[in-house]
Amino acid sequence: MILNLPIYACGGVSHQVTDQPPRLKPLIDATSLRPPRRSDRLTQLGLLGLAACAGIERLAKDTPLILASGEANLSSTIQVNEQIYLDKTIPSPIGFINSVNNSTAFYLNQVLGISGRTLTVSRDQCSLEAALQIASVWQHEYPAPILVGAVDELPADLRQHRLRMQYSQEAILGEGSYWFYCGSGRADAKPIASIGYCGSLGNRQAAIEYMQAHNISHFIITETLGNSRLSQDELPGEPLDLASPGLFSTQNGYYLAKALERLSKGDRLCLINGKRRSSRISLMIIDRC
Amino acid sequence: MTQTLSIPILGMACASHVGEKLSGIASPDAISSRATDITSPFYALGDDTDRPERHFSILESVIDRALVRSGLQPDEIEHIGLFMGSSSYDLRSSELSFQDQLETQANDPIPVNNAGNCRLSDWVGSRFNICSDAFNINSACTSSANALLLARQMLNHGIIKHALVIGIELFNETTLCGFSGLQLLATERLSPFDKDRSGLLLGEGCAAVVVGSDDRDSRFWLAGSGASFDPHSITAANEDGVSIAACLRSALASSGVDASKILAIKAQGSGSHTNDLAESRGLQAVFGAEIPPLTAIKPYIGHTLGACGVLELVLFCHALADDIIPGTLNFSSLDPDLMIAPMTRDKQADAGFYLLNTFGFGGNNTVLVVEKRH
Repeated sequence: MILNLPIYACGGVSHQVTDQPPRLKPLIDATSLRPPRRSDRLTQLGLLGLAACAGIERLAKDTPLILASGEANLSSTIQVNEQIYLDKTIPSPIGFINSVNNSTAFYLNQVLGISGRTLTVSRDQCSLEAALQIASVWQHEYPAPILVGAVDELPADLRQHRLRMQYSQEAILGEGSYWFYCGSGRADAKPIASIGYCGSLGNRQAAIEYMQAHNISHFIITETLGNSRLSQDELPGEPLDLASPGLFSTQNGYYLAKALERLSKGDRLCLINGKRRSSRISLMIIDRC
Repeated sequence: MTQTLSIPILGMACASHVGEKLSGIASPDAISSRATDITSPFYALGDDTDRPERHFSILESVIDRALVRSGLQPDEIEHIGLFMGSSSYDLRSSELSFQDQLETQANDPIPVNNAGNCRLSDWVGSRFNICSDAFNINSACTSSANALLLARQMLNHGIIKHALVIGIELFNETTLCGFSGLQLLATERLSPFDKDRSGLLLGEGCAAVVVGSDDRDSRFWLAGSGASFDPHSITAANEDGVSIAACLRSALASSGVDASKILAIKAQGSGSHTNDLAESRGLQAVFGAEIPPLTAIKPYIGHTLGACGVLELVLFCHALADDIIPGTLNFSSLDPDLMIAPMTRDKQADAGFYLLNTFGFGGNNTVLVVEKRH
């Protein structure tokens, strides 16, 4: 899908977790954003990422927001299921509300003081791609630039989570929140990058040919995709080596944001990703402005 | 919001507590078997809510009918855009698995072992040989309505030629217990706009519509749509109705249809006092004293949450195809706070424009404009 989606600002946070996921509240307290009372981890993580995204302090009231998340409100849903099946109790109202799949987007809007169109979307490890595709459609219909976020959290029990996600018990896990301020509605600023294409191709050969035809200068293969479907040697351009953020479904948000810091004007990046349960290969082509 | 193109609805199908038709239903029996002890009735599709993987057979039946009715060819289906909306997807599978692991005292029972929201759309893609990447929309009660709005936008921009939009919400204890904890459930009936309402009843259902941007003729067209966000409260619309009025105006503007041309409105009508108040005030702000005939479908099938946008569209269009605007069940007493009364008897449905409201948790509002042609 052709996007032609300019990006004006981006930023976020992520961390690898080897033992227990860190408490986020003290980290948020160090920012200017104040989470709603009894907000869950996904909301807190969303806010932490937003606090690290330069430019959000000047958001228009009607700024649309698209939240991409592979597993969405996982910790809250686990907690509610444990209350029902282990404790045999009705979940607390706030616990259930936090498990509803658009609660995080609601709270983020409230904290930011914006009330534009809002959507939460999932496509497993390609959720950010889905959100950017939606933003590219919305940019023609809404006057304000759009906030696109990619947020995935870690629940408390990492061993259990590795089993849930069918990761090896040695896998280094992570969580993160990355935000992209994008869309055509901002005439007063120059974009830092533009996403030209974002879509998936049915096989390895089609992906290689697409990259060859588009003069790629750099590429990143996400950890989610790994080396199982493409090898670096067969791809055009130079690999961009970035430290691993740990495994989480929207880790490509980290890769995109970090790559934009590293690339120079005129570089063309191909971010190569894929869903773990699909053989398709997802390509995102980004021009650094 | 600028005026957009009308999109033909090429095929549709659904599974609901009352089947595919509302006509002839006097008062559905809402009580069906399920696992919990919660006393509120539930509108089920059958008595097999504990059967793992039932979502696949329900999806298969509904989507197959919608695709056949659309007349699309296999090569068109292969490239169709895939959009799904739900608030729980296949959460029931995880619940049953967790319950089973606890009962068999498994070593390490894993709650929510099916994390993520993509298994159903992955299965649909594989089963129906669709190669496009699915959009799984999560906006609680407006999920499938928002999925349809997104499909319509992509059709309007020429990004896709056809779209398959699915709404699905199947029984799960997380949702039922959650609504019970919020004390939102009625114990007997769902009576939107009625002074004596006591809350909502939940239901399950699945619906699919095939829409296209080509020249095929159709009896029903998506003429417009609107969306708005209400930051007032995560669980209820703002009683002032301002956000709902904005959504209605946006939908009308996108269709280019004047409010005076609307023949009837399918209300959200979820049966809570706050939401009824917000909806009635929103309607009064847009239509003044001349609110078109108003009806609600949830008393027939329960509140099917993420599925209700597309499911109620399909049921409403099937009724319109029979030249009927279905009356609202369970309404008997005018609420003085609202001063608005839904139609209680079926009415003749003429060709023209209809509004379908879907509002929900998390501040998401959507309105669809549907045109019935001769």
